[in-house]
Amino acid sequence: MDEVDKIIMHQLQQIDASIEPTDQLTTFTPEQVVRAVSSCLLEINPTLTELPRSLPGGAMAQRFSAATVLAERCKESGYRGDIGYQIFLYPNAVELRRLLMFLIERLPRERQNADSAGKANALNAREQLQREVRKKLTEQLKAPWVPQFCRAVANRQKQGCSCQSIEFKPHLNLNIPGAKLAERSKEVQQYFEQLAPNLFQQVDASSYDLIASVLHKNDLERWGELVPSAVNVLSAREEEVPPSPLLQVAEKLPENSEAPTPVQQLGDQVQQLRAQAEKLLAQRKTLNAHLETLKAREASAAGELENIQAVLKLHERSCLVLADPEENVAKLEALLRATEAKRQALTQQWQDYRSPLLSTLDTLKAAKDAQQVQNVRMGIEQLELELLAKTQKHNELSVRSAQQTHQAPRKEYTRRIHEFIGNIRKQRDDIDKVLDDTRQLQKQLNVVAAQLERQFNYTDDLLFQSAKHDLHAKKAYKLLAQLHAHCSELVECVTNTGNVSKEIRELEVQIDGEKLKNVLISLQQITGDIQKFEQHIQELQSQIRTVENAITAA
Amino acid sequence: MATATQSSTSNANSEDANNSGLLSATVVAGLQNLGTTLNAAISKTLIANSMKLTLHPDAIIAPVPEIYATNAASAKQSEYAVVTLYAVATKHGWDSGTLRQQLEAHGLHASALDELTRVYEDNRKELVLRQLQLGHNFPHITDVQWRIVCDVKSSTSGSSSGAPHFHINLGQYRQSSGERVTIVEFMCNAEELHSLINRLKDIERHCNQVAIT
Repeated sequence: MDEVDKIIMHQLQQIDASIEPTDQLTTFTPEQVVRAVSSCLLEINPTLTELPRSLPGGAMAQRFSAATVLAERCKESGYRGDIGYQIFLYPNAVELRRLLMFLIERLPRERQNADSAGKANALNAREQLQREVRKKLTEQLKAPWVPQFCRAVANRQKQGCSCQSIEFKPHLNLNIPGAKLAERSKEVQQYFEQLAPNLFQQVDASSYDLIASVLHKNDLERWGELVPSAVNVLSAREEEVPPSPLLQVAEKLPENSEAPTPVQQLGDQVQQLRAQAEKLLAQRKTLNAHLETLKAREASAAGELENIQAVLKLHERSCLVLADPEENVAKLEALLRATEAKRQALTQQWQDYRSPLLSTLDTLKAAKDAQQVQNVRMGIEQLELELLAKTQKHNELSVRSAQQTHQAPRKEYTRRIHEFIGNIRKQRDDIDKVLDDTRQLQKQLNVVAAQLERQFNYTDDLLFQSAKHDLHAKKAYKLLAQLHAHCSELVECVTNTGNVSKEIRELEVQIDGEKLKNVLISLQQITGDIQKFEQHIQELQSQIRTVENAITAA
Repeated sequence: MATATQSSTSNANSEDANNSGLLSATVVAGLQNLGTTLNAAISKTLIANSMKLTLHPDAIIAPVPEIYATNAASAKQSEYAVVTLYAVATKHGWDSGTLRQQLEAHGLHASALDELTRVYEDNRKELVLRQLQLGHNFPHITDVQWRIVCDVKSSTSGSSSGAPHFHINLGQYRQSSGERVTIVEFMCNAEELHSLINRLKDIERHCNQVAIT
């Protein structure tokens, strides 16, 4: 049971750090029991209020009531076992263990996992929001149902869902007289004076929202120039009054008066003009073609002219050279020589420039190589250092992991549990064997008993038949009857002995159980508490008496 | 939205320069009509009437024909102007002082100015509440109507499968008129209905879970 106690202690420590760890539950004081049970209950259901967190020090009655409340809460949370104030005031290890194991199993799982992480971080915004949501939802779930029309009343409004919102749906085409009176024609003015519906009628007739429409129109007028014309047209259309048909007719009239000439003449003229135009068009086409051919010819002539000019220039030059051959050859040779000298000077110059640059290039290359080597070396050193650090860390971690495995009791526990299970299996097999043996024995016994019965019956019949005639046989029959009675008595005695020994064994087990509950100490505590109670009662009686005396004296 | 209104109140004074352009020319012209083209009594009735109709859009309010007896065009313009002024003022969270300042810049008649400011001061809370309701949202479902439907005969077949269907109509009642509005209407068979109900129960279960854990 030590392992179970350790697990319980570990869990209690996680829930409430103020519970001092002890090795065994038997050493738990009533105060510790109350603290542990109340912490567990709070953890299971945080909404519990008025839960006693500690035993009151003074009066017995208060301690008793606190213990009773806790016992009731445990029952409410589903504990089936026998529980009452005695488990808190006079704790015994077996029942306490059962209760605490039940409570620890009921603990919420998430809390167990997130426990260590959650404590370290303060509540972040998300968690706060979740809490708010939770609170609101709980409120709404607890609130009674209310008909829709009453939802906008009193404090229900702040829970939302009042269904009271108005759709923002503007009338896009409000018809209101514009700012400039002068721009309005007489008809428009008359329309506005008499027929036009007012703002409210316009909005009401088409189930638009008044404020939305008004805001929309106001903004449209303010930013009218910036809004694309497609949008603007919608609002402007209403104010435009269609031009009066009278005006249109008046405009058409003069056109009609100018056309009284005979249609025939005009038709002829048109025909003539059309024919002229066609003729001119054809002429234009032929002229255009002619122009194209002329242009092509001009272009080819210009090309030929250029070629001829180039040939002419070459001919002129060669003529000049051929005029005085010797002198020209000498000139050309001198020119050749000068060019050679110039080339040599230039190569020399190039060499002068090139050699120092080449040398610097070499040195730079060498330096770069050296630097690269240096870098690589540095890198290697760094990597070595890192490797060293890593191996060191690895060693540390391996040492720690070894320690951890020592510390972690879970494996150990599972191993032990497996052992227990193995033992239990073995024992069960043994018990099965014993049961088989017993059954076999029972069968044999039954067979023998039946055989005996038959034998006895047969003998009985035989002796009875002969007893009628023979005196000895009569005596033998009597003796047989006696023998049978004694034997059955003996068998009865044996079975009774068996039953008694069974009872004795049961009683021994019960005694062991009772011994475990250390009733003696509890009894002593209870008698002590009863004495305290009596003392308290006596005190109270004496107080009452003094008060009564005082009253009578008065 | 309420918080936005409050914060804009504090900024109102600093934004005076920008606010001067918040009213369109038509609105300004309409406001200038009050007390001049329209006499003081009619102006007062007009302002009161406009305020009533703004605050209670669905209520049945008796028409006031004397407003339109003379100068109907100006009266119509002024009605629009008054409603717009109050809407803009509420939207920008002006107090009555700011409103007065704004109106003074447009050279209004003194009596009209006083009346406009007084009415705004008196009804400011209601105006804010009215504008708070304005917006876009999804409809709330508050009522369910249903009907079990089964075809007996149709134009295309003389007999039916006899399978019943559920005809379900989700809707709400309009706050103002009490008239019922259908939001969704659909048909389903028993299996689909079960599935729907299970989904809804699932929502309830999650809701409970969120509330408890």
